[in-house]
Amino acid sequence: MLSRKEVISLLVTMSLLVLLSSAALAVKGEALDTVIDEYNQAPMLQEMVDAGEISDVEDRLPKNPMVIEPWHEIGEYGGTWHRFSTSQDWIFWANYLYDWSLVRWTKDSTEIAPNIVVEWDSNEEKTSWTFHLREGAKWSDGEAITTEDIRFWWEDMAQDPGHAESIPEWGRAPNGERMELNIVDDYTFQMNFAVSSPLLLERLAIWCDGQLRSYTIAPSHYLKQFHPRYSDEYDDYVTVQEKDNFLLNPEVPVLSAWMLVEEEVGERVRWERNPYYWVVDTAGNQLPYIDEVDMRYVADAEVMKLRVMEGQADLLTPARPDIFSVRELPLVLQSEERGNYRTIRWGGGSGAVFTYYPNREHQDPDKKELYNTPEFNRALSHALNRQEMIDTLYFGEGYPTTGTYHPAAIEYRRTEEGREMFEKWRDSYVEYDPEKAGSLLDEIGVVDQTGDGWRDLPNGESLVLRIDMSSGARDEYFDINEMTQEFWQDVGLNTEINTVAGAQLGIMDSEQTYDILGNRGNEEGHDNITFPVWLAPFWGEYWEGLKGQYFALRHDPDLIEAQLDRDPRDREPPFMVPEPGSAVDRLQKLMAQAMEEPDSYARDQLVFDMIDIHIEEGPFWIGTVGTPPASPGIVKNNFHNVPYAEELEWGGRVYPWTQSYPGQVLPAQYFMTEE
Amino acid sequence: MSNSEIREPAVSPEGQKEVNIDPDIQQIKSLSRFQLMKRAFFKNKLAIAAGFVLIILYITMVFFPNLFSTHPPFQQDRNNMYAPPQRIRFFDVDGNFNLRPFVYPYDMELDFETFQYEYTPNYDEKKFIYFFNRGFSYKLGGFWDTDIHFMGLESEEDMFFIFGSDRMGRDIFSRIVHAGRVSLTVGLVGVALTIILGSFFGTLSGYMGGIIDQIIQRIIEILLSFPTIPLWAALAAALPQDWSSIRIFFGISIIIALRNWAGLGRQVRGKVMSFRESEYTIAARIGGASHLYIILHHMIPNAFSHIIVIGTLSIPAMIIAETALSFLGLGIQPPMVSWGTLLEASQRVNVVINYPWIMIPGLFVVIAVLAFNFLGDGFRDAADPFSS
Repeated sequence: MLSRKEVISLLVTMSLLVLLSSAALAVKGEALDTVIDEYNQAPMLQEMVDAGEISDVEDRLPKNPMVIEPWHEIGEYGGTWHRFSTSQDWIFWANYLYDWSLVRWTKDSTEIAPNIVVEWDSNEEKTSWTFHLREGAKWSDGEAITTEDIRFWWEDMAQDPGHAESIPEWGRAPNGERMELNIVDDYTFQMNFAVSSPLLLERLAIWCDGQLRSYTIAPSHYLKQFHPRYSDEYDDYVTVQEKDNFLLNPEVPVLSAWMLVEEEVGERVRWERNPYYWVVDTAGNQLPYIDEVDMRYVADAEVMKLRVMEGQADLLTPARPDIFSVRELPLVLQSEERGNYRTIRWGGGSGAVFTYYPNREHQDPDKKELYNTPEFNRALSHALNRQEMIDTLYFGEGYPTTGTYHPAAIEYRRTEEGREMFEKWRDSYVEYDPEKAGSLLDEIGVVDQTGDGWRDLPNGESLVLRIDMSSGARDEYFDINEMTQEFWQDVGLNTEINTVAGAQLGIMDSEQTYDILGNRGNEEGHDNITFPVWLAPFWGEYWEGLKGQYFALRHDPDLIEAQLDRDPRDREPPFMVPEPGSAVDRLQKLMAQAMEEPDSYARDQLVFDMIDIHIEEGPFWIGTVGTPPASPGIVKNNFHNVPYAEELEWGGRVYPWTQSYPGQVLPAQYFMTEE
Repeated sequence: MSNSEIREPAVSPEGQKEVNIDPDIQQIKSLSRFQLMKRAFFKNKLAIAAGFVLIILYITMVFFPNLFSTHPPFQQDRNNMYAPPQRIRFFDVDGNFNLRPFVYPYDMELDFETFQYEYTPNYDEKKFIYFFNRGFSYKLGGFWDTDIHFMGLESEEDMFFIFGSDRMGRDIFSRIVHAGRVSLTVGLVGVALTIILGSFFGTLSGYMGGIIDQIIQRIIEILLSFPTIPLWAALAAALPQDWSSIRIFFGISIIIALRNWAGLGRQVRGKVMSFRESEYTIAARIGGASHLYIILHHMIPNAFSHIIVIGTLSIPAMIIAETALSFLGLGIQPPMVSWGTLLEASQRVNVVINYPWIMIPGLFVVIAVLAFNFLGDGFRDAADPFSS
């Protein structure tokens, strides 16, 4: 009888063989496992080796380093990558360091590839998941990465009530119960769940772990020095929390290609190659190619644009950060020669770039009733001339949509039925038909009763639709809101645009005190169900956020029970129980069921059932433009291995933070040549 | 004490001793103070011109913006985005003269190489401009329903762009006119408050003296020692965030006035202090007049010309302040239009390089500010007709 471990290693060997034989067919940029005899390293590291400061490259790399095939060619070592940022917290940079996630997206978020975890397996019920870490991989200070680093994160950070780190979605079963972490050996660990958790891998792949979201792995040998449980010196968690911020603390060991070496606060920040980075190219060159990243803070976006146009930035990834707007494309194009760069345009990756949320939990009972009337929302949808929005704001790129997930979402691609569901949902109530909008409004009694030219509430009181948006929003948002205002006014609905500060809008969102939220799209989503906020109220924001908060609290029935006699908005946090049998109630039940359905086809069916509710009883929110282009970026002509949109599976999916762009397209294999 | 304070009467016998009086001077002496001021003012031709400019600006933008704007400020023509200013012509391409001015409409095309909109005038079609014709309806002066406009094309749907259009195909000219209403009144509201606060505290401080003077002067010093832009920014940020743009607008004028009165207050104090020591004040005091009577009948009327001058000169400061705050995104927020928000939209590299006509609102800020300064200059000359 073979033991479980032996079975796994047998499987791995077999799969390695298969991969080796198919290496020639490998998709560009994809991470693939292969065997390499000899490794090379950067000259700057060779010098350190010669000086005896670090061990040689073979000893620094793991037994089986991650091998990636560069997008265009094997690169050269060296160079400083100059970047600019208008944000002083460098948060966009975290999107480039996709090395902290246990597994990673590849092929535009349609497949999951190994990262620091090399192989995984689960039982048939998907309640127990086994992961195997990359043996011999090291932190940037040379310490081995082991399962102790996972245990430390789970027990001494996420579960430790004193520590600010909270339990992420992948730390809980779909029913809200905490997972059980079982350490098998130094490199193997198990995550066990009370109920089936089929979406665990997707959960682990979304977001770049670390500064953007929770960790799953943390440098325990370093952090233990500051953790009150291990050190007598500290009795609070302030120090340990500060020390584990790899964007600010140069001392903390990292997993990523570059590590922070120096920060001049508010001025610039420098990152240098990680000598222990566990990734090589297909020729055995340890990555990254580029020695150093130099980011400078620029207060004004316009100044930054000028610098980019003069060729001072080596790479401006589309939408990361969002410096040029889509409509500034001519500006970017006309300086190509002067700045010695080429323009890259990737896809935005939004299912609906801009979405209106009429507040279905309105405090005003009249408006609440109106916004819960399907005919009213359909009228709002039919009144919008989406094609004109596309022509005006996106150079005609994109399609009209009532709002769905991205067409690449797995449910839409797995079966023919999925494709049909997507198209049906996308096309529901989407055609521009102001007359139909008018007759729908007439039907529900939203007619002009006072004679002022504007339609009124059925009870005769005047009706003003207020689009709430952030004063700091991009031009594009102002433009699209002004167009919507015009379209809604054309069907007799008095509409005004209200700008409030971004922080205030956040409060209005979480307390559901906005009127019609016009400030965001639905962007996330390699599938419908891992991050189902648009499919059903799932957490305390977006549509019916109070009921979404209730769903998020479902693992804590005591907290819900204790506050039921209070006004929903006075509860801590504010939540509302959905009415039994209502659309939201049914959607949330289907969502809960789908999240623990191990069979993917059965899960898709549940998602289709939910989409059916959206088509039959919706729209619950009103989308506008699907898959518009992302804002343009530039690549200097001496900067290489940045893929063109045509090389990416879906043309790029830049906006969703869950897709970890551009970390997903492997910044470590970028390289520079002499200008 | 009483002996030392009794002085000779205001009309001194010395004047009568003069025999050879220049007839011109004699004539001047016979003029009233107001006539003197008028005379001094009208000598300043620049101030008169500035006055005319301001009257035109206020009539067209503040009182009747809808009459003079050619389109509603938010009307979009999405076939004319980023359209350059259209030439108003009398001669057509063939050289024929038309008495009625006209424009050639644009044909728009998107160039998919450069992603620029290309505009070529369509020489086959003439759009004539009609004066006092019918267009979009509005309330004239806030009361009369009407649709008469100073000028416009035959059809209300057709747009023409004297100053070009912005990124959504909105008419820059109409937006400037409507924005002027906000920008030119924010000055007035703020200045009114400045004058009230400045003259009240200035008079109080100068007339009472002592501890009150000390306190007020120290407060003024503190106010004047703040750097203005960060102070406004902090105060503007402190306004409740759920306020509408209109309320923010008033809040900002009050905020600006709350600092600006300090300068006026200090000058009024200086004036009042000198009046306090003058003969007529002493006479009034000996005559048993109350402080209030003296303030109302001697102090304020005497300082009034000065207050007017300072007031006029601080209107441009207000306009600049509103523009600066809105330009920084702290003042009036779009979609509400003010010259500041229009300029905010023009502070883009893209606009400077490709669409310079979007910066035209800046020209109006310059015109209005200069006009107020020249007018204030004229008032200053007039307020003190005896100086040189």
